[in-house]
Amino acid sequence: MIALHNISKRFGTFAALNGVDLTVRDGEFLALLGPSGSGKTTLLRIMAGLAFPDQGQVRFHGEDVTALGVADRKVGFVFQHYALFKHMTVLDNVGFGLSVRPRKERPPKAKIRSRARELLELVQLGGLGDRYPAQLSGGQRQRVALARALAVEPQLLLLDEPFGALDAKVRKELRRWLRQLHEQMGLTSIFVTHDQEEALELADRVVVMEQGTIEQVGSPEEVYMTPSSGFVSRFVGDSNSLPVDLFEGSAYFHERPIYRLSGETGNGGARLDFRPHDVVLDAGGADALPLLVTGVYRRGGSWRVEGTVDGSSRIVEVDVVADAAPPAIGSRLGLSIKRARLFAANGAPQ
Amino acid sequence: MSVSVPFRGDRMVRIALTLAATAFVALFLLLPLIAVFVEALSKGVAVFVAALTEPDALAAIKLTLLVAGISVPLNVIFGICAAWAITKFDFPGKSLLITFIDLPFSVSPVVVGLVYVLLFGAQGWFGPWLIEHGIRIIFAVPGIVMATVFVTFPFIARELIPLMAEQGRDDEEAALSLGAGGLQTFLRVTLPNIRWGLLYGVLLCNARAMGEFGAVSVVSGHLRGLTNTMPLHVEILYNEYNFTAAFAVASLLALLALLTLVLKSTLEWKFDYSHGSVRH
Amino acid sequence: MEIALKEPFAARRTHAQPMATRTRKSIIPGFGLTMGFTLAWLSLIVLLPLSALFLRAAGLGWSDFKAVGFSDRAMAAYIVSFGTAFAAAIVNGVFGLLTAWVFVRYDFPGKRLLNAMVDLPFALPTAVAGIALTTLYATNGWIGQFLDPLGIQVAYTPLGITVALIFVGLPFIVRSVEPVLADLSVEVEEAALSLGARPWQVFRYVILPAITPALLTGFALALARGIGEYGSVIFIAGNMPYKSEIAPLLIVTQLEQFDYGAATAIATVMLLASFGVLLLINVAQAWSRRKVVNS
Repeated sequence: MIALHNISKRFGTFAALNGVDLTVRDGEFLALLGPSGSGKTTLLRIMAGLAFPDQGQVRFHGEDVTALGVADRKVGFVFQHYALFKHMTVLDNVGFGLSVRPRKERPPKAKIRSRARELLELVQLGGLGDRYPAQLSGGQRQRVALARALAVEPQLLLLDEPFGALDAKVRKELRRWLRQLHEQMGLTSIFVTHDQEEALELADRVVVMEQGTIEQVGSPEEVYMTPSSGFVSRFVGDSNSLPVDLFEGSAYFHERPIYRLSGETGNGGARLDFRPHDVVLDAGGADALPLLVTGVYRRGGSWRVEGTVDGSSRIVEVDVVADAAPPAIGSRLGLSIKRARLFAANGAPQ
Repeated sequence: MSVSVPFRGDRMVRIALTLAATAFVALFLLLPLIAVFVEALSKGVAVFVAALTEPDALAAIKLTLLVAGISVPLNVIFGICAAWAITKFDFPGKSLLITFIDLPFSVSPVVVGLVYVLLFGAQGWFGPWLIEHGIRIIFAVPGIVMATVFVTFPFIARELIPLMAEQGRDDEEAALSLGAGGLQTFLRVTLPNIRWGLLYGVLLCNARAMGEFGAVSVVSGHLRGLTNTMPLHVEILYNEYNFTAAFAVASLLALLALLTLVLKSTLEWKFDYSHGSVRH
Repeated sequence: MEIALKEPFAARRTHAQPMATRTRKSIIPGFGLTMGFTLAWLSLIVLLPLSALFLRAAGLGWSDFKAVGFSDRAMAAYIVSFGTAFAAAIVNGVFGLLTAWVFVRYDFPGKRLLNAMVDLPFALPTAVAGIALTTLYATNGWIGQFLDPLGIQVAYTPLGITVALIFVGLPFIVRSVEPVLADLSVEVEEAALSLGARPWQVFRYVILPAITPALLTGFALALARGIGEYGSVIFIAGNMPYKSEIAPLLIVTQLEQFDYGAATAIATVMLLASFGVLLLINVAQAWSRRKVVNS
């Protein structure tokens, strides 16, 4: 179990992390998700021992490792740009961690080579051991970096934007493969990403970060369906957001009631967030919001309809099942919101 | 404890290495420079000024300026032509050509002097013909210029080739497609792109041209007031044990070196221009 | 390998044009003019004079060439020239690497000044350096007065020649190593650390191999310059035949005695040595390019 307690870190005047608490369970696959500058990479580096917090504690299985450097933490770290040793063959790269051990703990050379070969087989690169990193494709380099990190039998695997430098197709294949590898090995793994799709697809739990703090921790389902803040709602998955006024249990947009609220809410200004698929078009009900269609395109099995609402320039995105013909551009439709969440005008949960 | 990368973090290591490097540079580079000025002024300003204003010194200064004034522009023309041919066109044997252009860097200056003596000296291939027609190259200004051109040959080309290769051909092709002529394209598109690199090359070329000793020494004949450049004048004064005068003239050359360094550093800082070559 | 084909092709075009490629028609004018002038000027100034030297040497015949080009005095001069140049290049290899390291990795007051100072040997005429160093290291000089009681003679000995060549060669090493060191990614060092390497192992196995080609290039450049150096050396060398006489000086001496044959033979040996060093540089660079290509 990895436990972070009240971690803070500043770079000059910039607060990269602000009192972060986080517990990572053994064997889980955790995603640190957030926009750039949210502190996710700094948090990962602090867990690795590549950076040190100004304040707070890092514990591995109850032991305080805050002051230990990366060399003493037994973590595997996969760098965003792989950081392979250019002057070494793939095999030497993978065997590096074993070959720099103190003489007493160092396996014999033949053993290091056979272990490196096994790992290359594991990442499906057997036979490429004699190549140099420059002779590999991006996806292959990524897998070498992974094999190299695994060679030292780490208790924790950390990956910094592991798919960031790959093109879309390779990224997808590698994602699926990594998920399988994790299930096979059961090694506690944490990866940083700014791609919400990647986090939702891969992770057991997702940590959403923003401005140096954790906004929400939860399963992909929880984070998507019950975002704890306006930020999470908008950052994870597509979300429309309209400024509304609350009055007697209804949300009003341009003085038109557009959504009936459940439970107690006060009166005043707020933001109403709803997903493109939590909407029905064409209904002429009293709550329907007039939508002027400005664009339509296909997104897999549905139409993504873009339009402006109620004469404002605010754009709303709506998904319509693509069984029927799409609505025509310029047509006016009614929009009823089936499911929505309310956040304070400043983004905090309400 | 805030940074983990080795050597960057450990304060003691950092201080020790910085002091060692500074001490080394100070001892081997800075101290000789200081010694030049101290020795030059050791007998007072009057002696210093006198050493610089006597006729032979003035003649040496004039000759040095003349030689640099001829050889630097020649190298500018050559450097631009070579860089243009090499970077704007593809042809077989390009790397061989670059190797040949680099060649003068690895030839001893004395050998440079010698080859011109073998060609144009009294015993040389063209010696008899030159004597017959009353043309003096060796022990005269033309020989000094030729030797200087040889030793400074690669400076400007070496500065321009990487720069122009990096800039590619798109700009020129765009200008040509818009109807510009060849010369217009060069003057209005290429030249503005390479001017700082060119200036950089000119600076280093000029410093070497004014300071060249070995090659010039062999072809000059050391005729006081006639074929003595400033470095040769320094040598003569020094060998006559006229140390103060030798250092006075040397200090003028050292000032030139300092000026070169200041301009060069200014170019690097202001325009973030870093030089592409270290073979000077 | 199927993935490798998908590497963006456009990325490669932004790099410098490959050196020798097939002749392609370019719409840019001026090839004939610039190429013609380049070749003519190169031949006139460099190639023709150098081939004159080789022809003259060939005219000597092998036994004569050997007698004057490898005479005892010439051999002694080669040993002094190569030995001191090698020693100076070694010293510069160590301290040049240290200096480049400090410039790239640390910030300290006066760094810019120090950095500009490193190029002094490129800008300061060699004769000026020569007389200044001689004055410093003579037995009554600023530095020499402290070394003399210790029994260390610098001026007028091979040690003095080495000092002069250290002065001349330092920037070659620093300027070769500096950009390569600056380009090393922090990530690679962190990766080595995360795999359990100790700082000295990071230096030995990760940093040093990466900068070795540049270090070798700088070493070879400093060596080549040192072998041929004349101006900064002759003042401090003492110029004692068989002891502190460098090969370039021996050429000048032979020339002053109108012994063109001996001068030519010695010059030829030196020129071939320079070419050998030049070859070494190219091999070192090709070696470094091979591994770092595309990455």
